[in-house]
Amino acid sequence: MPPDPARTDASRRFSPLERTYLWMLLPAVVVLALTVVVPLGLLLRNSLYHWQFSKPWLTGFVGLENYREMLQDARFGASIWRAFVFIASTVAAEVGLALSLAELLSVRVRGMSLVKSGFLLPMVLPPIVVGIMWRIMYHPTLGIVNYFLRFIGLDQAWLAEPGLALFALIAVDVWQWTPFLLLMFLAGYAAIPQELYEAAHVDGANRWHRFRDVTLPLLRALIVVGVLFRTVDGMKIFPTIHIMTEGGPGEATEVMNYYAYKIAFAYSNVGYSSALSFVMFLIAIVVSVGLIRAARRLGAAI
Amino acid sequence: MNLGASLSRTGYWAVLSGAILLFLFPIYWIVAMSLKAPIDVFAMPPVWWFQPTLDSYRELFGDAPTLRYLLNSTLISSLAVVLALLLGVPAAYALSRLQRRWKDTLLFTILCVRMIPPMSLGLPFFLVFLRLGLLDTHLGLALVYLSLNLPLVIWMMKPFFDDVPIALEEAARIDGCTTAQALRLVVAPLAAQAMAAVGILCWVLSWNDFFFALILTREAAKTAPVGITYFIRFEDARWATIAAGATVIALPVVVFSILVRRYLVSGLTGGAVKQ
Amino acid sequence: MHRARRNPAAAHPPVTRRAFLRLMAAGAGAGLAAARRTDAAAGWSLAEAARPYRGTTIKAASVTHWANNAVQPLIPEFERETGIKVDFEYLERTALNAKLDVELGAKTGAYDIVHIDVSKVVRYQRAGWVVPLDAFLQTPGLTDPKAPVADFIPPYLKTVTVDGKVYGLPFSGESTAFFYRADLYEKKGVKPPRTMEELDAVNKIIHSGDVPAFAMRAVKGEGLNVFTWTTWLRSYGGQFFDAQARPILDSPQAVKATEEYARLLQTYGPKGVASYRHFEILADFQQEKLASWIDATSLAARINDPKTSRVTERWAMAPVPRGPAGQFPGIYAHAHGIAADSKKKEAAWLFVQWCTSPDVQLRRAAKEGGAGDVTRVSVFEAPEFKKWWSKGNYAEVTLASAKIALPDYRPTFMPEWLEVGDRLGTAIQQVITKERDAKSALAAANTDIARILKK
Repeated sequence: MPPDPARTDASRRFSPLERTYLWMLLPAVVVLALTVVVPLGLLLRNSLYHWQFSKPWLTGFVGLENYREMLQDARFGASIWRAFVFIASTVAAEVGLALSLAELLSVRVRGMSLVKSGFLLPMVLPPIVVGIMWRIMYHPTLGIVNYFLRFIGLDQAWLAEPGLALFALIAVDVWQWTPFLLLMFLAGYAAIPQELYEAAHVDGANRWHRFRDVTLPLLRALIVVGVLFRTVDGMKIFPTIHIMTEGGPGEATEVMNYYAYKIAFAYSNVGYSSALSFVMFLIAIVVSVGLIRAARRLGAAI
Repeated sequence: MNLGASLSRTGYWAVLSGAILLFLFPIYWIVAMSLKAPIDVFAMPPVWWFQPTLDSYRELFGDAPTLRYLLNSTLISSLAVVLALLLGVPAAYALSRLQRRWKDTLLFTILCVRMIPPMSLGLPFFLVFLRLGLLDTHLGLALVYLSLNLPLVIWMMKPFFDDVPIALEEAARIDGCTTAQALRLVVAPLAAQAMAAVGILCWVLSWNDFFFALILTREAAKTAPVGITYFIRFEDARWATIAAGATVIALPVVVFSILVRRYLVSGLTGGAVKQ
Repeated sequence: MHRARRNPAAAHPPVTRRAFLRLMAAGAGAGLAAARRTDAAAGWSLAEAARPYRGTTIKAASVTHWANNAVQPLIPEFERETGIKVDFEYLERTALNAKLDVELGAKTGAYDIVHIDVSKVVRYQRAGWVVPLDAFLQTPGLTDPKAPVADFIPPYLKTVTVDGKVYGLPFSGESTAFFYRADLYEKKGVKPPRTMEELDAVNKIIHSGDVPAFAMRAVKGEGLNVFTWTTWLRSYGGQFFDAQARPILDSPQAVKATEEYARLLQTYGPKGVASYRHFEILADFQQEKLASWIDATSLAARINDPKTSRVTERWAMAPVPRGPAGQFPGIYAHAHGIAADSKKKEAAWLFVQWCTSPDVQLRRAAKEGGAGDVTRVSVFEAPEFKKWWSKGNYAEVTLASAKIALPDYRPTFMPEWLEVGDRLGTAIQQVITKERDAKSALAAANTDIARILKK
């Protein structure tokens, strides 16, 4: 939607219309400001202290010491890399899958709406339950996953092999969160006027062309929003990893957020974990900015 | 030509069925687990035909105040979603219509709220709630979810509002509507599908949260995901009962989304926008 | 007799950080002696003692555990007799620990009774979050002569004792033992192994593709694989620390112990054993897919449960095999502690004492679906108890193992234990998955641990 030149003015005065808009914006902004400012402030403050529950005698202001330590923390670096692999894989798979499913489900057949509701189910389970259930299903000998894979000789100890565990977790995340994007994209599909499809059909476009030239451009903005949210949420993943592998075997599935959790809750090192959390927050900002810029360059109206 | 068409149709149905199977089989498996006798949960080869039993459900509701936890979850999630929509939809609309240089920065800052690692939010919320007496209350937890849902509402609704031409509101205003009325009567109905979708998303995310519910409630406002861990014991877990819990927790959302599925159907007669 | 006696001084040298380890070993005895003095008061009644506290409500937070479940139906009795209402909140262990950290750290005073165990007691004590129970034990008005502290199996009590002061009363305790399929053993004409060599020999005979011979915890964690691995470490003469309190986890004995631990799992373990915790071991055994294993004694109740186990009549227990340096079963106990910021400490004490008393423990164990992981010697020896819990030699083996177990089986008393234990567990798991060989994995772990301790 092109900006109305009469309204893009750099003047400091707000028109009455704009004032109404600001009032509409205010409550949300106030709530969010309160939610952001205090925790971030506390986080920053704590990260400048040495504060470990188990060694209370060492508490005190240490400036950037925690951050210095972080630079030498190979385990943290490894966890960032793993988080990157995890998020990139899951988001790519989820977007691809959700788009394909939305396209498949856009056929107007009786009962399709019921099928759509069915596809939403995985997202609806609490992550902690998802973790528990998949752990049972991944059991090397008694689990249902290997029972099926045995027929094609692919049964492995999914959660026990350092090389496979991350992949197993990615599969679970894709299974659980594709519905999130699917729901978004279905709403997007609903907003596309039928006339555009009909026009394309008249022009001789087949299914794939219709998707590429009509659907995709109109969904672009929504796809970017989906990618952004899955990325940001992906950095916070916790219960599933905790229940299924606890970051193992070894450290094979210890992603950024899980490592920070260990430091905070298992080792009670509030100071260091605050520093880690703050850095994770900054990483999230950098990644998001990058994604938005890339999206704009690809033409999405964000 | 006909062969090609029917091949692609069978192909389509094959792919769709495959997708349904892959996605929904684990769900079926969990529900089946909740109806099996505990000794069959791990039976290998798996037990496909079995006499269903409601023992696990009896245990689920008998050994823990699961019903209360479910009611708590319902209350809290609903409150959070209603508030999020009330605050978020007008905000998204305003951000769509406003043309100021700081708009993008504001939008991005709103997104940043979701980037704060939950662990870092937990303790500050706890301390503040402690002082305000909001610990272990429905309102308290709902406020937390509100602040996590707002970015989602705003970011998802804005593209939809962007797509509604401003001419419609201008026409409404010429006819005497206030801005708020224009939003309510003209613009919002066109974005109804989106609001339903984002409402469901927020509801589900609030419903399923574990971390904040754990830290900010004790017993009175405990929610279902936290309550279900009662069946995870130190030595072992009552898997069948946990499966029953999972089914019960998933049920309200499934029912709700089936009820609103009209809003999720794509390609309805007429699109969102008529030129 | 069964264990190699070690010089306490060598194991716990007088370095400030480790001083309390020695104090603990010496001082727990002093704490018990003081408690014995208050036994004598005759004519003590719970209702009388609780009179000043009638009408109060106490809040307790503890783990979801069979022992707690088994006591729940009996709680109304306590409430009726004392007029004290008990509100219990149960949470899964890791969630509970996270929550208690927040609540106790913020000093909310929300809980009067908190769960405490060997991995938390030092941390809670140093943070001032729990109070020593000695004050209550020395107040005749509050102490039930029929529930003497000396009756607790000493190692259990010692796991929640710091600087000679008791910080919790154990309500559930376990050692480790060797569980096996008695029917398979009989069929092959073998007996449960008494030494590590015999263990290897027996496994070789029993092992088959369908029913693997042996499994143990493999998942990394101070409370997971390290828990059972320590038996191997000690049995082969290894130590966690040397006389100068430096970690010596890369010693030849430790390497040998780890190689043996991993080899047994790799050779005789089920597929994917590297991801096994006690959950998976239990499931396999219950479904007849495992012949033997070593883990916590309290799991016996799960094997006996016909609702989940197919082998209820075909199993038995034996003490853990001994290695060249002796026999070292593990030990662990859950306890109820009293929060420092509680305003109803005496009422809380009365409850804690009541629910760990011989009478209540016996009643919670000697029934259908009871919990047999009791913590008192008198209960183990009661005929009622033996009637329910002799199956598979549970009572006999558990009591014997618990009695000879070392409270400092794992050095959980140091503040860095969680981090150290986890790092060690990671190394062990890496050896089991063959990601690294024992020598390099332990050397790397040792270096890291030394660094952790220096901080």
